Parts: sequence; structure tokens; C-alpha cells
Amino acid sequence: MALDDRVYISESDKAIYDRLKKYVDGPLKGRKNKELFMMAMILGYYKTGVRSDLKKPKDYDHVENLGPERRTIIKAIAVAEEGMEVLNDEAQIYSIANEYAATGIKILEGMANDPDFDFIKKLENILVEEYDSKKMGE
Amino acid sequence: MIINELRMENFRQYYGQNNISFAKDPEKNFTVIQGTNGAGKTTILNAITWCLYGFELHNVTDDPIYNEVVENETSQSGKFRVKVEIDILNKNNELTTFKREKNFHKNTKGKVIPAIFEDDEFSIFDEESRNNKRVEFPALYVDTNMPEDIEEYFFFDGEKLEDYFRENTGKVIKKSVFKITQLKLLKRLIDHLDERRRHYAKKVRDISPETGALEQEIIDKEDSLKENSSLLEKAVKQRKIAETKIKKYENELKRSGSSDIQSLQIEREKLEREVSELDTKIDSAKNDKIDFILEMTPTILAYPALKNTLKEAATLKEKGFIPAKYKKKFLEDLLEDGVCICGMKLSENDKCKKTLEELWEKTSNLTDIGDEIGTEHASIESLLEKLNNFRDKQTKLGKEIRWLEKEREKKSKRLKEISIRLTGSEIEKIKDFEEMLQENKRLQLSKIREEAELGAQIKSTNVIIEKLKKKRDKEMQKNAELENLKDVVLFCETSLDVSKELKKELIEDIRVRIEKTTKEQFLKLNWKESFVDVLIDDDYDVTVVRKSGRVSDANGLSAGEKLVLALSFMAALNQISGFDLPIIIDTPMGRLDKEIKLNIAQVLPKYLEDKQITLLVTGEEYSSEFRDKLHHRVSKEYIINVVQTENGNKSEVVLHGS
Repeated sequence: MALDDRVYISESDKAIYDRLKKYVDGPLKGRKNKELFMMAMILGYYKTGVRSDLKKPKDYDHVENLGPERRTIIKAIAVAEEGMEVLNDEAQIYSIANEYAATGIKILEGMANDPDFDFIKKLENILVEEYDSKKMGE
Repeated sequence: MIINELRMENFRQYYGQNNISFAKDPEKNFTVIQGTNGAGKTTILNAITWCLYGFELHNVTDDPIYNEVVENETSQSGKFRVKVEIDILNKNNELTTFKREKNFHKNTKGKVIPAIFEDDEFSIFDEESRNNKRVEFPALYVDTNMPEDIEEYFFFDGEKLEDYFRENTGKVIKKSVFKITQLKLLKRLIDHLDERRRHYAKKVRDISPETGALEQEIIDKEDSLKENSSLLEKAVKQRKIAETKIKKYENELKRSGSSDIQSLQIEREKLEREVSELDTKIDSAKNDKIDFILEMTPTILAYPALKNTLKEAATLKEKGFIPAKYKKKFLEDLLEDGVCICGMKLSENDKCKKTLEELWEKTSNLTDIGDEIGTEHASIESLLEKLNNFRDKQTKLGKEIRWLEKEREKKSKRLKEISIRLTGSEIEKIKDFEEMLQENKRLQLSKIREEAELGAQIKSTNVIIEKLKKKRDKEMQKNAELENLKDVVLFCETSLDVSKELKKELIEDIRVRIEKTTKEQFLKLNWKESFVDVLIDDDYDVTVVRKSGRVSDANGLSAGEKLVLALSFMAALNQISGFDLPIIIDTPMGRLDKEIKLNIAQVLPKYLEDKQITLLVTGEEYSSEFRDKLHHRVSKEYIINVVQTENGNKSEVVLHGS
């Protein structure tokens, strides 16, 4: 659901974002809204491929604030889901992003809060595995 | 404000009427009253405090307040009185007279008893505002203009001053500062507001138990906040003490006399600096890596989607949709307007219209977003280009962290070796210093952790309180009765917050001002010029810095230096008090050596130059050399003579040379 030029989260997830951003000591502390939203969205997309409906949507950031690179990634995911024509429909593009973020925020929270788990190390391993297996550097 | 005249009648040693007129010339602001021990110097201080407050406040003896000669001269059933009057001049030269008298009578058995049903009669005549009429509430007048609480900072005992910092801990001094600056009034206000707040919380509870529970939760959280803040303050203090001790033991090791130990300590300090620099570098490298991983995550995890978009875009390119020769929207506009691009009306040319309609049918919707696809294509290519050196950079960052950590480990290992060597020293003193040093380092570390934990708890409690308050405010809006109480509760809360903040700011402001004035006075008064700074910390622990850089606490000073520091501190306290009162110092030089006394005499005129100062001195203190040094600033000199009569001893204050 993209109601205007913003990205949205479920109202009930706001507390999770706040906790990660303000209180949970770790690499996400002090990060900007756009960074957290993007991490949630990409984990939702990559780890589950499942989109969740938003409950009581609450605006979280301006699309403009995301910056061109994040917007390109969001659009690419929308294209992968709906085809090229989705680029004609901004609302649909960001609705897909919002729904992936709604799934991903729980995953992000789980990863960031796991005491036996070095979040960045784990993420790094995933990236290296993906990078090497998909031969991205070639 | 200066004392114009003091008149004592039958007060202790002083028989009959004894008048002392004080220095009024700002250039010659000193009055010196000289007398032997027991002659009645301190009695003059006590006459002043008795007159003003109804009590003698300095070294009081059990002897009666009346003079023994007048007692013996008074016949049975006879009466006499004790009276003290003080004339005070304000800066406009207006006179206020304070008068206290007490009547006594001798009964038939020869016993002196206070006049029955008669309290001390205390009165004030104020020329300034009442045309020399009697002031209506004299005690209140005194309390407003010269409160008893702060008396000791204006009328003080020099002999005790020398030991001021030994007898008073930072905690006691802090209390005095609260007293003299009337900060206690602010504390009283805070306590009162807190009490009112709790009262209204109870009222809220009575109206709505749910909202009351929220209010109570807020109060509980605030109590825990207060407790944690005080624990944090304590932890900071303990850490600072540990750090001072660490510095001390490090210096002891460096000054141990053994070159071996000295070089080990120097090496250790260098290593510690290097470890600290490495820690900063490790943190920075780790943060760089975190930033890098978080930045690359979306691109790498969205890689298939990005590649897919590129592939789709390539297909569209192949099909000739991008770059589009024309956009579908453009054809639609021509058809809607009914005019061809060449200007021909479509209604007049069916063929042309049909051709345009067929073209519109065949043209993909994507031609309308061809430009955007082109932009995204370029943006994806640039994103993917960044991926090329992902592995190199990831490996490089990892290697850098590992190298820094290894370096740190090497240095930490060496630090441990040094400590083991020092702890195993055959010199008992070295062994002890090292053990104490390590113990304090452990304490320092644990306090740093405690500070961090408490800091986090305070921060999170503050957030919880804010949330609870929002929730409570919402609840209060739902109930009309509570809605009325809301403003009162909020007023109490806001006033409490503002008062607490104000108190905090004032405490710091006062400390800074006391430090500044003490330093100015001390550097001005200290004849040795061997000091460069005076530091007063949050706990009012006073330290002085010598030219050599050595720092000593107040008790590490010589007797003369201690006295000068205490005088400077007193000057600072009475300056910040805001009360413009004269200074009277009883036996200012106390037990000091002759040389120090002379040095102090030399610098004393610089002390509180704008104040009227009275010195109550012994003959030994007021030697001819001392007198010579101070003479140019003295306008009144008195001697207290003790006269023996058949009815007892009496003291008389006479002008010197008269």
C-alpha cells in the first residue's frame, strides 16, 4: 500500500523499528529510517518471498529520502514480481516494498536480537555465499 | 553595608558603656582591635551575634552574659541591664540601629535573676525606610538582611580557618554552599512540588484507579530514575577517585628511584597510549565494515531482480520499444485531438486516422516509460559495477581488523608481562604500588561499565516515562473530572522539571564562580607566586596547582598557604552569598610562624578590597612589623585594656594612643 509519496509500515511494527534504532545495542542502532526499512524489505524479499498486508499503515519515510540506488532496487524487485509495466505504477511499486518490509522487519528483529548470533558476521557470510555462487564479480 | 558603631553595656567583660567606632574610609577599610587572650576579643563577635540573633555563636563560655563588676556593684533588690547596640550604614549612608537589651535584678539573697516575664527586648530603628522609626518585625528584618545561617562566613575565627579544609570534607563544604547561596530554598521548593504532585496523583487514583495506576507508575519510574541518577553520580565519583589513585601510583612507580622500574612504567604508559589508539582504530575499522556490509546487502540480495530488470530492458530494446520512436501516449493525444502531426484534421482523412489507430494498437504501453527504463538500466549497471570489488574490499576490511587486533593483543601481552614483573618485585613498596594500581584499574573498568549500564537505564526510563505520560494524558482527556486535574498535575510536573534543571544549572554556576573567585583571591594573596591554579570539583574538593605542575589537595599545603586558601574560599563564599556585610576575623593569624604572619600582613590589604574588615588580634599577632605593613589601610586601632577592680575585672576598649 503506497498512499502517496511515502513508504509505510504497520503501526504495530513502529515499536520494533524504534527498538532497533534506539535501544538494541548493535549495528542497527542510530541508523536512519530508510536504512532500516531497506534492510527489512530486502530480508523479507530474500528470506521468504512472502508479502504481508500492513495493519494500520503508518508513514515511515519519504520515497524521495530513500535515494536513487534504493529506489532502483525497490523497482527491480517490483519488476521481478509484476513485470516491466509496474514501472508505470509508483503506488504498486512501493506497495510491494511496504509488504516485503512488513514481513522482513520480524526477521530483522530476530537476527538483531539473537545473543548467540553476530548479526554482521552472519550477514557477511550470506553475502559472500550469494556473491560467489552467483558469480557476481565476473 | 558597614558597621558604624558598636555599643556594649555591661556585656560580659565590658563594664558600663563601651563604644567602638569602625573604619568607614574605603581606602583605609581596616579596624584593628588588639587584646590579650581572654580580654574580650571574641566577646565583641558574640556581642554582635547576641544583638542580631539573640545568641552568642563563638566559643561561648558558661559565664553569665552580664559583667561581674556590675553584678557586684548592684545592691540586693537592685537592677541593672545588659545592652548591645549596633549602628549599621547602608551604601546610601542611611543608618539602621539594632538594639537588644536584657534586664536583671538581684534578689534579696543576692542572686541575679533575669527580670521576670521579660524576654530580651530586641528592636530596630531604620532610617532608610521608616524615617527612623521602629521596624515592625525586627527578627524578620534580620533574617532577610543578615541571616544567621550565613553569619559564620562574615564573622569568623582565623584560628579555626587554618584547619578549615582538614575539618570540612567536600560534602560539608557543599552543604555550606547550599546554605550561603540559599539554594536550600530551591530544594524546599522542589520537595514541596514533589509532595503536591504525589497529593494530586492520589486524587487522580481516587477518581480513576486505572489512570491513577498510570500516574503511580510514572512516579515510581521517576523515583527509580532519581535513584539511578544518584547511583550514576556515585559511580562517576568512584571512577574519578580510582583514576586519581591510578595517576598517583603511576607517579610513585616513576619516582621509585629504580631506573628499571621507572623505564618499565614509562614503557607501560606508552603501550597504554598505543592500545588506546588501536582500540579507536579497531572501532573505526569495524564500523567501516558494518557500513559496508549494510550498504551492500540490498544490492547483493536483490541481485537476481536487478539482473532480471536488465534482461527485460534488453528485450525491450531488441523489440525497439526503448528508446521508443514514439510513445503510445503521444499517439493517443493525436487521436484525441483529432489532428495529425502534419496538421491534417483526422475527421477529413479516414486513412490517416486508421493508420494512427493501428499504430496505437501495436505500440506497447512500455514506450511511455521508455525514458525511465533507460534511467533504471543505467542505475542498475552502476550498482552492479560496485559489486565488482565487493570481495576485495570485504577481504581487505577483514584483514585490517585482524591485523589491528593482533597488534593490540601483542601490546596487551607486554602490558601483562610488565605488571607481573612489578608485582613480583622484591621491593615491597613497588609490589604494593603495582597491586594498588591494578586494583584501581579494575575498579575504574567496573565503574565505566556501571556508568554505561546506568546511563542506558536512565535513557530508557526517560523514554518509558514519556510514553506513560502520553498514555495518562490521553486517559485524562476521557474523563471531565480528570481533565480538570490534568492542568494541575502538568503544572506540578513542569515546575518540578524546571526547578530541578534550574537547581542543576545554579549549582554548576555557583561552583564555577566560587572556583574563579577563590583562584583570584588566592593568587593575589599568595606571596610566593608558586601557584598557578585553584581547582574546585563538583564535590567541592579543593586542589591547587603549582608552577611545577604538581597538584596538591588543600591539606598538602603549608599552614600559611592553608590559611590564605581558606581566606580566599571564605571571600568567594561571601561574595556569592549576595549579602553585603562587613567582615570580622577573630585572631586571623592564629598559630602561624612569625615570617608567615608578616607575609600575610603584607597581602591582607588586598583581601576583599571593597569590604569593611575588622581584625581582632593579640599583641603577638599585631607586632610592630605587622602593624607597619598594614598601617596604611588601618583607620581605627583599639586596645582592650583589662582593669582589675575590687569588684572584679572589667575590660575597656580604648583608641590606640589615647
